[in-house]
Amino acid sequence: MNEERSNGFLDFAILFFTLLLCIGSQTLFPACAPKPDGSWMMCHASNLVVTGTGAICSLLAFARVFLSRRLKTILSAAIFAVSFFTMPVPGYVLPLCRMAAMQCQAIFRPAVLFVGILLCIVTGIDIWFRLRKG
Amino acid sequence: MDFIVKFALQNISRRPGRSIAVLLFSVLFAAAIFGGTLLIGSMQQGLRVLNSRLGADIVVVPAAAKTKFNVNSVLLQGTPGYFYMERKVLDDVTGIEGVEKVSPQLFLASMTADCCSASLQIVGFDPRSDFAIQPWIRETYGGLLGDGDIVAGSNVRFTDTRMLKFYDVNCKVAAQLAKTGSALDNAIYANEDTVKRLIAASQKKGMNQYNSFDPADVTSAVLVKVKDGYDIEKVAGEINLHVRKVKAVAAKNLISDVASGLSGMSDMIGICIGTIWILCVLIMMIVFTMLMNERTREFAVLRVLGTSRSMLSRMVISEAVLINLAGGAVGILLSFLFVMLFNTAIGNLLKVPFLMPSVSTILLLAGATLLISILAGGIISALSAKRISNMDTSLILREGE
Repeated sequence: MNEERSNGFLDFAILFFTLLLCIGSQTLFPACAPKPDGSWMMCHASNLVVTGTGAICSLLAFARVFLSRRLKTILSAAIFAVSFFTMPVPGYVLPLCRMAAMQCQAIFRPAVLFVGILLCIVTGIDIWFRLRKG
Repeated sequence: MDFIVKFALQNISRRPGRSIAVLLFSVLFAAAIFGGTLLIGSMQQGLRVLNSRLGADIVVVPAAAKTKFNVNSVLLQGTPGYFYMERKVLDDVTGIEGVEKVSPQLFLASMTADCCSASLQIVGFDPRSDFAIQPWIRETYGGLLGDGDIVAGSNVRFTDTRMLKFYDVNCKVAAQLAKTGSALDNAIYANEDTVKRLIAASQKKGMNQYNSFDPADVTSAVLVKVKDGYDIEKVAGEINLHVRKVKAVAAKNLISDVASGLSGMSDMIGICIGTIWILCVLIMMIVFTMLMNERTREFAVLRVLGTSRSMLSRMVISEAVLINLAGGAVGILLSFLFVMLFNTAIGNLLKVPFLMPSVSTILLLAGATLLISILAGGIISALSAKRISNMDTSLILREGE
């Protein structure tokens, strides 16, 4: 019962953070808005990639709720890897706008890093618990 | 490992729901104290750096600029904006009694599409007379700024070629300044000749709202250093009285506007921290009392099995201290991560200079928060433990029979 409860807490946390990465990157902490002429700034590509990886993580997180213990560990590891490699996307892998005060630099990138770190911690704890219990 | 600590750890892991609930309060408690104090400390640090960066005693701007622009935000907060007055003001101000040094500054705002998808404030200074900007440029760049060279604020990003283009004029980034935490980080600095070239280019492209003057004949602001022994306010008053069409403002008044806003904000954050702190302590007291009531039979059995009163108290206190230690560490880590990652956004949102304190200050603050968190948990649980150890074991075990 107790184990189920702690697993449920981790399942909820993983699903919450993956959905936050996916939906939040389009709503709560998006990169810069389009220019008045409708064209996008250079940070738009990294916004799309983060939303995409967030969607993949959300699907994996949703799937792992219904799967067996062994598969859950594998999916947790996959979410850990995807979120880990999502963190350097804004600003390192793909460029952002050049002013640090702009939305993509001041809000989007820190938010992706923050959610990415939390996701790595939560999935890391989940993997550790599962491997420890064998 | 000590038996009591081991027992406490087992109790925590066997009841994850209960432990997580108490842990969350502890996280909130630590995050509120650490995060709130870090916010206040960062604002104070930002104001200190801004104060040291201003360098001048008096700032003289065109009188019309005071009504058209928020001069404070242009001078202190780097908000893109420009205004001009005749350059002869420089000689007029120099002639006022009590004035030791004067230095002109020339402003221009870049177009949004020039380099950065956002407008930048461009500040030109005279290298021969400047006493305000060059001292902090020297902290990162020892050379002389040639024509076409610029120094970028810490928030300005550029590519490996170190070239930025303004109004089709290429400028080379000679150095980048250290962070001040204010919007001065969004500005770029160059010598007056470079900025005159940029103004002429902006006029040629029809992008400057003032097209009828020669850039060589104007200045945007005059920074004034007052001689020792003279009253700054009085000298500013003399300038306002004797020099036409200008407004002289004592720099400390500019800063005090920011400082008074900051003081109000610090008080508000302090009240929030206090409220959250009291709420957390109250909630933790209620939670601990409820948990102890729920566990009275467990404690009674332990007493029957030979556990002494002091051992029982130590078990309860150990549990609370361990949870508060973990919760405190998580709360500190999360709030530090949040403030560190979002420091630019927080500065923009609060509209105050925002600069994180030094590593040693942060570590000291983290240690103090952890100590407060552990002490709070320890004291609350000690009160509960005292109540438990005074209970009549036989009565509890007979309850419900």
